[in-house]
Amino acid sequence: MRKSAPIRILLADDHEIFRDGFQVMLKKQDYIKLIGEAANGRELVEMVGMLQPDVVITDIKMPELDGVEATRIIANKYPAIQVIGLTMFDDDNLIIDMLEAGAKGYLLKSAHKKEIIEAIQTVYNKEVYYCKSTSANLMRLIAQSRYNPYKHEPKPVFTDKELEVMRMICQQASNKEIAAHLSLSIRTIEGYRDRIQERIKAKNMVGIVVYAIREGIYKV
Amino acid sequence: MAKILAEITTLENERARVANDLHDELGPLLSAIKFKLSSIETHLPEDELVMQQTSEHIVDIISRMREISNDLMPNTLIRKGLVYAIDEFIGKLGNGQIHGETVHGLTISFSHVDVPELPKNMAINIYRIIQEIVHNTIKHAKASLLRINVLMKDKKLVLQTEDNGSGFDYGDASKTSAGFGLRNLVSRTEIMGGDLFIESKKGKGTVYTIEIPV
Repeated sequence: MRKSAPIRILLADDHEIFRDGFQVMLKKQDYIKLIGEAANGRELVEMVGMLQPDVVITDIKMPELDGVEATRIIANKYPAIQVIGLTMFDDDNLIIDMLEAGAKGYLLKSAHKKEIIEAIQTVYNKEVYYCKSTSANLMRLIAQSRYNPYKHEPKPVFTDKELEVMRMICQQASNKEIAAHLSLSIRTIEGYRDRIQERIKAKNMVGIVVYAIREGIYKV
Repeated sequence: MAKILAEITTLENERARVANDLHDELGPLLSAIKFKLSSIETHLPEDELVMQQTSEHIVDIISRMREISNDLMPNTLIRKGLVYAIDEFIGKLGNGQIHGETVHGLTISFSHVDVPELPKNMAINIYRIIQEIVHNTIKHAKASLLRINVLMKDKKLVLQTEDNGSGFDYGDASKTSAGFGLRNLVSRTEIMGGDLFIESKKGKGTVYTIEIPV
């Protein structure tokens, strides 16, 4: 069986030690290939032009040109290249700026390897990725921001049960609590959850909440 | 007055420096350690467990550092200014809830009209004043509603807050632990050349009005 080509990624961060750690982490993954490292936004934009990566992973606060400006340039000039914003802490407003500038996802620098890989694969497939450890406040801000990944998609129609499950997820209810409330089994709720995620292309609970708030399914 | 100004300036500069060091230097170093750790492949379950726990400890350190850094100097205040920072501050108080504005039974609303871009020191002082008022309200006022308004009037920035709590007697409060917070409000207002008015009566809620020439 022929192996598909690895996803080619470019990393930008002004800390060499961070870039080194990142590179070591991904070295053994043969389906992801780190093809270059930039130390600031200006270098990043130049390297994107030369190397044409599939996915860019960039720090937000950087000297010369920050991640937000660099993302804006890349998203305009090379719309096929997907950008993920990386941030040390969940600085809500920085993340909103990144998404509005054209990033398809964001990650905290404390994310686990599995999540980082999942994020890379998700944006590579032209879907959005929200970090698993997104605060409730940030979910609300994303939903209310100008950033809207859903505007060109045909809107799925949900059943009353599905809508109720979505609302309860927004209230941070567990599968067990939702099951008890709707008098259904936990397994059934898990099934609902998976189906909802699949239909709105959400990778985790954060995607469901952002969608529900933006579409007015859950009122804040 | 000059002494208070110097003290507050030194304090805020130090806070900003420490916050920055945590955020920009120690943070990336810790993530680098976590990333490298995650590249090690072990086939012993007990080693696997140790690695996983170590990695969780690093995440805990990072999130605690985030809190400390943000308490010292919110990144948003420096980058996006006062209005965004207050929004974020209020949002984060209700941690874990989408309706972030309700905390300990207190609903906080924030409205602002025509707030211009303020000098950094002024934005920091007003931010600290609002923080102090919110914390006082949560701790002492037993209120269910706190309204915060910031607007421009006759070339003055007016900050007004109003709660429906138990109110207090200024003379009494200035002698207790709450007095330190009140003095902080007074000093911060004074160094901006502003005026502070506190209207409060036992059982009638509290209104703080602060007017600062811009």
